[in-house]
Amino acid sequence: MKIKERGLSPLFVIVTFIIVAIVLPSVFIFIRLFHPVTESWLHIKEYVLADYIRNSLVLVTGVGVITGILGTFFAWSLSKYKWRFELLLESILFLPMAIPPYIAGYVYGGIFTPFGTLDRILVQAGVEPIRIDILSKGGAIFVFSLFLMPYVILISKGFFDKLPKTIEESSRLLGRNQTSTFFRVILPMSRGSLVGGIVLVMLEVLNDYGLVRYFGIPTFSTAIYQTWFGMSDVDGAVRLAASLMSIVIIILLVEQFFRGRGRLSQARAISDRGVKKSASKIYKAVFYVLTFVYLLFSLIIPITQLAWWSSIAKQTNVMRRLGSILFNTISVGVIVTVLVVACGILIGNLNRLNPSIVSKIYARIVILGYSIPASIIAIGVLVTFIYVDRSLSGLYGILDVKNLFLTSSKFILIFALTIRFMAIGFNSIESGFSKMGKKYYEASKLLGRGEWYTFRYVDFPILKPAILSAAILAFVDVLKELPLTLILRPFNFDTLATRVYTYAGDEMIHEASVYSLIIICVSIFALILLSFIRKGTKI
Amino acid sequence: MQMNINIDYIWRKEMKKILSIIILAVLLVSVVGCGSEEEKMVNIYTDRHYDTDQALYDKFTEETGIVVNVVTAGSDELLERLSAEGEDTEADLIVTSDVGRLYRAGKMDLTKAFDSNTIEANVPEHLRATDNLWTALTVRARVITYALDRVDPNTLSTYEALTEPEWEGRVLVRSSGNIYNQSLLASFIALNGEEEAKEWAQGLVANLARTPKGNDRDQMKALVAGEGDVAIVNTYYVGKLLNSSDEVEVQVGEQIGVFFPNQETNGTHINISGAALTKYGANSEDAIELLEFLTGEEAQNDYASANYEYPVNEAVEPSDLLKSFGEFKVQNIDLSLLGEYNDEAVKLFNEVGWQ
Repeated sequence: MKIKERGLSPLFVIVTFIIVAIVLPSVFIFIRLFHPVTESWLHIKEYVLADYIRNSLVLVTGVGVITGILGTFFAWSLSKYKWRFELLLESILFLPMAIPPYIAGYVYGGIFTPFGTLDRILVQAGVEPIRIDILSKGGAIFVFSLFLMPYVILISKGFFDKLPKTIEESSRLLGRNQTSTFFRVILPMSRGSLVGGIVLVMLEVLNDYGLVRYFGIPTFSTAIYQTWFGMSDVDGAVRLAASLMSIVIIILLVEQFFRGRGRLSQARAISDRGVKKSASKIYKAVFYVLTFVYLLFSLIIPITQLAWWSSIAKQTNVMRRLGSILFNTISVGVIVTVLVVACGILIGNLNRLNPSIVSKIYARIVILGYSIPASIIAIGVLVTFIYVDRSLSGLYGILDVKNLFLTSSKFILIFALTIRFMAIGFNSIESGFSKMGKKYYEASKLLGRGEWYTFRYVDFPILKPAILSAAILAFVDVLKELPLTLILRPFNFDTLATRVYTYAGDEMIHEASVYSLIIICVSIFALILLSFIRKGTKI
Repeated sequence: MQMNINIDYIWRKEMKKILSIIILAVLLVSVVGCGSEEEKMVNIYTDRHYDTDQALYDKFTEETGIVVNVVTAGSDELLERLSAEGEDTEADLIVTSDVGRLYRAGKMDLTKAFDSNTIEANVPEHLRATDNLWTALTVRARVITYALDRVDPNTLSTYEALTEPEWEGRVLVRSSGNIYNQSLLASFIALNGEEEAKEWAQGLVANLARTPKGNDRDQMKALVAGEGDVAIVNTYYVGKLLNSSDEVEVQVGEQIGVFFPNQETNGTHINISGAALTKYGANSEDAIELLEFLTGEEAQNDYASANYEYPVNEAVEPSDLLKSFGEFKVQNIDLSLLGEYNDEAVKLFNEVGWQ
């Protein structure tokens, strides 16, 4: 058995294939790093880069800190204490992520703009209008935080849920109070999953282009797109993206290094969390107030605004081909989700069973697709697929299919979305694996069970909450994904998100609202479905 | 823990899994599978994403039997896709809402000239490329809007005049990332040279009422709210505002005056939506037929009435709304130059700190 583990296991081979698929488009991007330095790069560097990087840092830090603190608070509260309507509360707290930040940007822009909703309400109430400048860095941090927080909540909660109660009990027995237990024991232990969630949020902020453009805040993404769109210098744009990617990878590797030292193997991870207690009155009050405020700003206000805008949308054509749009959106969503989860499990499993430097590097590479603006990824994927198609042209001749068979099919879209959201799925699955250890796995193998059996009946049930989180995140992310879908889609292929773009891009926010609401509805439906699955399979 | 495993039970569970795999496979095939296409068609890459365009394509299909297939995305991404696809591209036509991108497509050698007397008759010369590499479909003007209650239009004259000290803290405009601002500055580079264009941008930045942000509609709202006194916007969005389904937006629109600058000098800046044949498109003839249709009177009427854009076909009148803004002298410039100087315009914006 030992020998087998040292050799090339099938798992290793499969994972290597996946990693190659992820890396390939990035290779096509990195190659451009070696093209000669362009004049526009020098221009960008001289005039704007420093400012743009500063803006990016402000946004990323602000959003990271806010979502980190509040997200952890929500996750911990939900996981540790008993609440009324707990399941409902939990699902609702995840919902804001169904609203894409750039749509939220339009919504809050529309509320705080002169003659916006706030003005109208104040005028109705006979109060002098006040001017809140939402189109600012503070406003952007506010909007990003509201709608990205669920990433942190979901991933951290998945971890907290599986934390053995004994750890807390030991800490309390050894004389630490509750607060100190949380900050000195729980928090350090859960750093990995926390960082996982916050990193996703930060990357999302870093490569956003829609919201920052509307808000008039030039960021690093702006530099990339300005080089590309404004100065027609694709090489320069790719160079910027590649340097961004390198920085992200270095940060992640450093993080991984530090995390590696504090890692705990948890044999008892599946022990029951026991009966949840009620929180103290003050804690309850704080929790309810914060939850209410959060939901007010992240759901009630935006949905009301969207609903009102939808109601005054010009109805002509808005609902055209809704059936096929829904089918496209949901089928691509389901397929990509399944692929993302499957790849996440494979890579996570390799990392757990045969940890090595290679597998650790693999685990970090997964995040490649998430670390740079999607339009750049799109170019990489496009070039990769065209390359593959051209290599297969002989085969295509025999099969009598068109030259760019794969490139012009939905394969390319599914592929691109899968590598894009691999990070999402993997980060939450990894946080599931990280506290699982391999004792149960080894026990099962010793008892003579095969790999598949062991996975299905031993690992899978333990991992299930993490898998469900990964699935929700991936599915909702695909639902609202825009840049990749836009550019890689085949002819006449519309999704809900592309319809939102169609209208929002033309300042037709009323019509865009209709589709934004449908995205939210589909997400709600998916969340309900998943919470049923979760409820039905409590172990 | 019970280790008493019932084989039958496991078998049933496995069946469920196999079934779900089959369902997934079917889903995959149904999504990925492609239909057989033997009919006549035109494939379009477009960054114009309006319902009116789709309606026009539908009308064209109805009249000719030629099916129109569309991919909508940003024009720069589409050009990149077209360039990567090379000879194998399926696209026959590229449509953009900015002449600079059509010019760029030509420079990247992605387009080819059309040969059609109908298009030449439909579209006046200054709205086509001299080598017929592209043709305009619609026109928009970038104008100065002003607060009716505060600004006397007689104090307005030219874009250049907005850089005078009297306008300090009073000018609203969106960010320089916007293509219409870029083409405006590119036109100044073409007309007056880089030096003067830079001075203009610098002067305007000095007179801005606030940091550039929001879209054109937001500029006009801020204008009426008193954050500034004049705003540089596209006529198209004035039309959108005045025909909004939101009453308050209409009221905002009614408090705004439209002024065509530079009438005494070199004319008001325009940009176009236009189209070009792709170099390797397989259905160029059908694509030309579509272009003839789109520049024809019927389609031009639809463009003009539904979308508040100026028609390119001189036989067609602009909508009543646009006519109410008055006629105007158009900037006398070879539109291709807007594309040629686009890069330089972006750099000037950066140099003068126009965000």
